Amino acid sequence: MKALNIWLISLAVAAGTYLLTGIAALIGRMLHERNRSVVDRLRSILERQADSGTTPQHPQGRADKYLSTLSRRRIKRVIADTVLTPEINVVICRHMVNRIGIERLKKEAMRRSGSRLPWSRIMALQILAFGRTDAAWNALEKALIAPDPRVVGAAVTILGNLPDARAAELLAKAMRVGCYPASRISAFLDCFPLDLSALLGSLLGCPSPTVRYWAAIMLRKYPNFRGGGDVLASLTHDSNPQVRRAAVESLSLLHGNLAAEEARRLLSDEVAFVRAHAARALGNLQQVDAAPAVAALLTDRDWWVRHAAKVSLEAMGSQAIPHILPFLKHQDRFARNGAAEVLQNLEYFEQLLDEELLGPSRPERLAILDQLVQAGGVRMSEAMINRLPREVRQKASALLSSLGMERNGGVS
Amino acid sequence: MSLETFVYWSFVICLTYLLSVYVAFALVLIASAAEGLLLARESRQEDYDTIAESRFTIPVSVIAPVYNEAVVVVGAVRSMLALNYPEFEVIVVNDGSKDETLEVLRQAFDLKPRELFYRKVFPSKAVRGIYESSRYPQLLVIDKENGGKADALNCGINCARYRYLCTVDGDTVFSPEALLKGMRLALRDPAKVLGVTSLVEISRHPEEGLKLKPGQHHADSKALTNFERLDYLRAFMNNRIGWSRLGFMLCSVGAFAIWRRDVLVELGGFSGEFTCEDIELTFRVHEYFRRKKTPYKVLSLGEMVGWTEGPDTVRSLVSQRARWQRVITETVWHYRRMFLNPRYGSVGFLGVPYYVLVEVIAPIFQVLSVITLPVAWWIGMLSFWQLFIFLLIVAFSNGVLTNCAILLHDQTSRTYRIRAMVHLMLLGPIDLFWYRPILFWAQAKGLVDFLRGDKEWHKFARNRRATS
Repeated sequence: MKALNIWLISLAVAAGTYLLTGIAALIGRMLHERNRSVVDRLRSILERQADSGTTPQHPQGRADKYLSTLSRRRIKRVIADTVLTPEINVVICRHMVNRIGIERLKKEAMRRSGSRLPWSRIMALQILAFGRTDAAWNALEKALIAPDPRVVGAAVTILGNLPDARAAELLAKAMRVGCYPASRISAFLDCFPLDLSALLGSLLGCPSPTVRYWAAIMLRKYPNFRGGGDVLASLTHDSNPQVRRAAVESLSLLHGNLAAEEARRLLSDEVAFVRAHAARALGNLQQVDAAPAVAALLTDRDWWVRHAAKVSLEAMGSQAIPHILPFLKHQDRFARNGAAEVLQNLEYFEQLLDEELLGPSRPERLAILDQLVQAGGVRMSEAMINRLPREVRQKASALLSSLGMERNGGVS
Repeated sequence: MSLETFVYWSFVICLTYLLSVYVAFALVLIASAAEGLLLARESRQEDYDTIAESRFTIPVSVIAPVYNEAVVVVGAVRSMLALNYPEFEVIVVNDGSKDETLEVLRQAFDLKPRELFYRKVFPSKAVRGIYESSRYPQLLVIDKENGGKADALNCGINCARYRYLCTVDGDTVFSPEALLKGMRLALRDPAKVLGVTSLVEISRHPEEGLKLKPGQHHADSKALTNFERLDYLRAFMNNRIGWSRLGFMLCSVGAFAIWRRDVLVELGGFSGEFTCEDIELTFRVHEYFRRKKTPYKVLSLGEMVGWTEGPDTVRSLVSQRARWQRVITETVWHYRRMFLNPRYGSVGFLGVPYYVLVEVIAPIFQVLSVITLPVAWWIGMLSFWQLFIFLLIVAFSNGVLTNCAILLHDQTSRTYRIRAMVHLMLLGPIDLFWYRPILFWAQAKGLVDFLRGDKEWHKFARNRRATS
């Protein structure tokens, strides 16, 4: 009997736990649906207010009236549990500022947190910031140096969504201090709706190369930044290769003349990725007179530099072809392959084949085709034939076979 | 030794094993719940719009090996091309398919042959042709000789341009937000986050998943599919997320795994020596970086990123799960040096022992319990009611785990209608009587196959449906 009781108690515990967890799951979902219904209701209120001309900030606005019928705790759950549009976010946060009070929110937003409390602090920051209070700035500045990375991350995200110059300044400060990945901060600054050229310009002189790098990258959005060309040009001499790379990239997109000179110089930089970006910069600028120097990078010891050289030469277009042709006979196999690939992508292979098939045969053209077939390999020739109209494939195949297509493996 | 003594001790051993497994599950579940709710909250606060628009978002190469996927490949590739992410490329590697996979791709995406010279970082079987799409410039299709999934992935990596790789299955349909969600953790900490995986759900019609909004998904009409779905949910929500938190996320799924490219290069790419490449690579990453004492993270998210077809029949399910059992045992055996080895930290002390306890030796105890319980009842050691109550206790305990998985999943993804949630929760206890015996058989078979040295893939047949 005792043993049976133990079994039954165990069963009751197991079944009870099963029921409780099931109910918890359903309650969690129903609470979420309730929170969503609050958001849906607010949305329809705002749409009706917009139609009627009543502004959402009006203290007697229906949104405020509706939110007043809900408990603060409920509204906080809505903020935590749902993804809010910017308009609804502002409406709710303004309401909560009035309800909770700025002083209490400030206290909450500045509080050092344990493992659970960061969410309270983060919510207070959100409410202060999107409620458009001046108290938010100080709280956000402190949050950026919080020991908890969740608080820092939330502060960065909040600042990134506040279209205010002060937000940009704080983000720039965060980048200088290095409290959060610079790439994330830069993503927000780059999407900022305001002109940040002056602010970014001030970051170019920062001791941290990471900051200089991102500032140089972001400045390409501002072609009219005064003195930008000279500053970026000087940064192409920076001791840090990432900064040199960023500077030449941005320069090529903003200041063509200055860029060409600096990019040419950087083609012989000791660091591979700088050479690669210098090559790409010249491609962006379509500096055909730099094509010989860029083509020479087809023999670079670094794969990514060779790849960048190919991309750059393609960007320069058909005018670069004469400078690529010599590499079809280069002793470096990768250079031959690279040259053939560029010529394929510039449709030069097609052009030569068309001319040879349709017009009188010319020895110099056949010689180039022969070099292309050898440098590009069987697969390139086969791909070329398969791109042609069906009616000429056989003739093209015969021609390329006569040039030794089958015997020249050429696959890298 | 008398039969009664044998049965008695067998029962005690099986019960001890069962309780150990439940304790292990409970501890990991606590970690999963803490981490899952935290991740869900962070995800709600994340500014995905900025990530989706920013030119600074790290670009990703999506690599999809395909083999005989003519029925599903177009839908899957279309979903990859529709990913909402600022910069990415899709590399489909046709691994010597014997059906019309390549032709179907050629027609659907207007492919034109091109030569591309790439750096062969990893050896792979010969490439027969490379194709670019005139309509989708970010799509590249590589046609190669058959060499297996690992070989195809390595070939894809050779041609990839970007710093992060997302290896996927060629039969999985992805939600547009898959890469955004998957890359979220890597973008926050690219120096440390080496790999991220996330949940892919089972569906008999993966392409239908795209048409439904969150909160509108139904349970499937077929019980087997629902059980498989619950299996995946439990695996991710109750286990992998907890493993992440405890630092031993030992299985990035092949259907969706993001890796930092330099890590794969450093480790030599995917290995073709194991039946499945995904779990072995994850073990290898942990082993290498723990040994080097380099801070790193391999993480799992609970967010649903796509839908994939699961086996539609019991036979094909057994084949799949036997393969999984085989590969888990292969991998754990290969990396046995990490077992309880302090050099490997939580991976050695918690992760590998967890795998041994819950996965590797499970078939032995399952078979023993399947034999012991009826014999115990037959010889009168257990009354019918005791046996019945015991089975109910186990059934409801499994139900608890299922409910926890559904709860955590709902907090993260809000995929299902409430009615579907109830439907799935009711299946939780039934799992023991319907689905679990199939897995017992499959796992036992897998263990035997491992001992026999079987390395075959035994791919399951596609569900019958109209070609797209």
